[in-house]
Amino acid sequence: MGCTPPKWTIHDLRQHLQYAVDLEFWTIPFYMSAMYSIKDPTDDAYRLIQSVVYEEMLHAELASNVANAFGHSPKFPAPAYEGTEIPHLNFNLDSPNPTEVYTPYSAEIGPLDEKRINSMCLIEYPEWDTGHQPDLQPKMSDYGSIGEFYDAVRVGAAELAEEQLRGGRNQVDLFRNFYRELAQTVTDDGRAGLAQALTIIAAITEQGEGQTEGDVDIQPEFRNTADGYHSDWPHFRKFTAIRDSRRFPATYDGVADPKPGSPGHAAQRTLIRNFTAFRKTLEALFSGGDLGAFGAQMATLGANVLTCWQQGAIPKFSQEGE
Amino acid sequence: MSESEHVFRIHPAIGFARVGNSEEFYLGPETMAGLPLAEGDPATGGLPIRPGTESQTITSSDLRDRNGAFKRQAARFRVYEYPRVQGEETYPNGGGREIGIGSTVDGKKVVDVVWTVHVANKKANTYVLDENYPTAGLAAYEDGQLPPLRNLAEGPDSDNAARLRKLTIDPGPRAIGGAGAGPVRVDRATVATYGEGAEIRRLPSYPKSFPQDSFAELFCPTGDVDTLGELRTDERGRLLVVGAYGRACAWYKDGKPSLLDQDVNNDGWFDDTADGPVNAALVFDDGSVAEVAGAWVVSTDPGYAPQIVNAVTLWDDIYDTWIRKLRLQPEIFDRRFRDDYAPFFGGFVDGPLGGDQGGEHGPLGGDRGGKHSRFDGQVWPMFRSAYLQRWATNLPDIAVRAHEAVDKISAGDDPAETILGGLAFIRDPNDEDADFTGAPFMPLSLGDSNKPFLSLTLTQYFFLTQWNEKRYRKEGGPRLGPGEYLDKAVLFAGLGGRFGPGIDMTFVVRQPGLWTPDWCRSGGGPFRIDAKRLDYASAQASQPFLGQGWVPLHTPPGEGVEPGDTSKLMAIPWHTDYNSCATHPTSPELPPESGGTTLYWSWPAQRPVVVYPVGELRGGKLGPQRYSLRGPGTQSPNPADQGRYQERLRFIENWPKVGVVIQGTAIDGVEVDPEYYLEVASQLDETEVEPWPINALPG
Repeated sequence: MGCTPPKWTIHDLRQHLQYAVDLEFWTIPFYMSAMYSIKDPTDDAYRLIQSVVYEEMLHAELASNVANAFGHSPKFPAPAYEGTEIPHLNFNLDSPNPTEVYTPYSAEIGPLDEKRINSMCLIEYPEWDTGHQPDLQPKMSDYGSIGEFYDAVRVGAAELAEEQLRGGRNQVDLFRNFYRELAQTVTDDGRAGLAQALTIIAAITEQGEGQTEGDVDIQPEFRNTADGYHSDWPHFRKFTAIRDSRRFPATYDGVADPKPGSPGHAAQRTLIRNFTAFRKTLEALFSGGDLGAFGAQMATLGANVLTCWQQGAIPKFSQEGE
Repeated sequence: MSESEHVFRIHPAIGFARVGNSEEFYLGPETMAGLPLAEGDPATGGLPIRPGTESQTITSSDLRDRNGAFKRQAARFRVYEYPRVQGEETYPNGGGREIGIGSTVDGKKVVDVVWTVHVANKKANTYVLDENYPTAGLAAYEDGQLPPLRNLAEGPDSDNAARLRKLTIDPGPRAIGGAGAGPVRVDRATVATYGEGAEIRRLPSYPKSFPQDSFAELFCPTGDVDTLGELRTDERGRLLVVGAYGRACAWYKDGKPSLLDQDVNNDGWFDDTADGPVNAALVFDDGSVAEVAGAWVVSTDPGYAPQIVNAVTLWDDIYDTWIRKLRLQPEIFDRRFRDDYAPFFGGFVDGPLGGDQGGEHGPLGGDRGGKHSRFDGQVWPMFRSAYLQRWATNLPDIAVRAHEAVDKISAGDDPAETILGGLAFIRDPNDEDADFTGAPFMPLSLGDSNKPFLSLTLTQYFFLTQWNEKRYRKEGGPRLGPGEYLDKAVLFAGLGGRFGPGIDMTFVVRQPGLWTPDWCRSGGGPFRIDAKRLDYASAQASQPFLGQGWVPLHTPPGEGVEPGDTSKLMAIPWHTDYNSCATHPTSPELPPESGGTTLYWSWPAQRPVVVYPVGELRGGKLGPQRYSLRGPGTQSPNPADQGRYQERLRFIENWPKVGVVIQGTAIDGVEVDPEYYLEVASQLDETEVEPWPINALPG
């Protein structure tokens, strides 16, 4: 790589914003499954994860709004949950390497356990300030943390805002009254719109890993004002609190591939069917469509995930190879 | 069949009159609020009934009189005959035949029904309703404790004769007989009367007491509290108890009216709500008389949303008490809930309902397609309630869609595939920690005393868990007799769950001691308040007839409940509680990590917070929502104080102007989607400015 940073193209930026949506969306089934595996819904761990799930859904909306502002209506393909591969992130690039601490970890859907909580901490792991502007990486997997990835997006957005940013395109603010201090949409063009987009990105990163270096509260303007839990805690602090408690609550057991015809298998089929429909709803919603069945589908997914666990099956969100 | 082989009962066991400021009235609803009335018909139950008709429901034009005044509601009571059961009766009975003037029983003709009603208002001479965690509500009566008395300045002994006379509104009993009789005023001016066999006796020396008898000067912003309502009979000799006028009066302290500065306990104030026993005697053409198991009437706030079902209805709370504490149905609960009980999901129950009661003279609105049918169930009504909340709250769109999905769950759906699969979003009433956990657990409204959030009753939750486990019956049921149906339908329209203190009745309904203990052997059946036997012949002008009365957790079993004893633990006056109970933060407060400023609805189905006014329809589609209480005097920059009058006194003046939420099928003069429940007949909108010329008021 030469000494001149590569210039961002609109293609690069739109691709990165799709990556952002991919990553935010990936976390939702992963976190939801861990949450609903907990038998006691009043348990602190349950409520902490639940509050993060809410914010990940917000993040998917926010990232979609920025993507639409730059002319890209995001897609919602079925996320993959395999091995240790968390999409678009390569923790080994982060320094210090957090996988040395948060291990073992797994990207496979499962109950709240050591592997899952380590993965959750890794995903939300704070970016260590390297003191320089992150470069555009052709592959998102070349970023070490979400923070670094979003820092790169900020650079790209700033470079392209004047020509490419248009406010009011397919903007969605489903959660307006849940985050009363946060403007969740990009309504202006060009530089003014960029300021809105950067605020949105700041909300995502502050709620997620928090500010770089040091355990700092989320700024009041980015906090859940309605139904949050420890609304001033970044996700990383919430997950670390669960991990450090060294006590996992009682969880359901499940098998990945229950016998066809069993209640667990049926529950997985239901979840796959409804999650597929949900993805279509999201694509339509973030392409200028109406709310559709979003509210009912989102709640039904929660019920489906819990039912999988209650029927002895690990939740499954898509067909093999989808 | 000899006379001893029959028993007679009044239904509903508890009826509700409601106040209004009009001389006119309608009859209280006799169908299940918000539930379907007939297959293929979008109309749902819960609408009041036009007087003079069997079951013709009102429309929006019937809510006010020609002067715009808010009509009162009458509770209609009927007598039913049941075969006497040898041994213990079970519930539901499933039978029952209505008896009225002209009916024949065992070859004898009923020539009269003599009704005696005795209502009173004891609110000023009872205990303060404690609202503070952890001693709020009933908890203040536990362990031998009592809350302080209201109006302590009038003396520390609630059984003191002077205090009783001063603070109890007791018009004495009133009796009425015959068909199409009345009105018999339950007021200060008329003589007390009571039924004794076939006779109506006068009690000119009955020690009536009204505020004017003890206070030379009263502040009565909308008129004197000089009546608690009136009695009438209809053409079949059924009883109508009509509520009073919704007035409130204060006595003067230090030259000024007593302050109206509390939501629930305002010393120095009276209102004109009331409650008390309803008794009847059947008079036959051979001169014989048959006693009838008595009922109870409560006169309370107007029904501003009669078709919107509470998440926990008054029926749910009372039924739960009877199931778990009074052995109503051991097949459901026998020291614990029985896993082998399969609740009825909900649907139309076909078949004759007993005697002639499904038809022309029945409470069900007539003969439907050759079959008498009604909708009932133990599971789906909860789903319907969730859906209906949107019409009285400002639920966000995503929640409205979710609630619609709940409403669409059918008996044939696999519970595991529905939005409520696993009961992921239902607060578990067995888990105290869940009381402190808000969204996404439902119901998402404020909880009972000492609980931040509302939970279903244990019986409701049991039915849901059985459904979730696929142990349920897909049909409607259970099969109730027509009188039993009335009992349920009337209570189903009332508020349960959050008795802080409530609107129709309060936490006393959860006390086994309130109810007749021998319901299965006495012939009286369930849900009857254990009324104290009152010996009117012993009444003396010099001595108050009613005492302090029944006190929860203190009055020994068997002493009975006096007139005024169930409504006395409600707010005084009711207006201030109604006004304030729009939205609140939780009480007790949530811990800081759960957020502290979020506002939740108090009693939205009974006290609509936010409504869709019919006048805001846009091309037939829903327009913006408005607060139910709105207009001058209600504005506040703080959402915690919005949707109510900032000065409590304003609501005492303005409650008759509040609109009523009813279904589109009953709204006159405009095409409305039958699925909509909109506010009509509100007089609280900003008035338009009249064109010039305009004039100043004289002076």
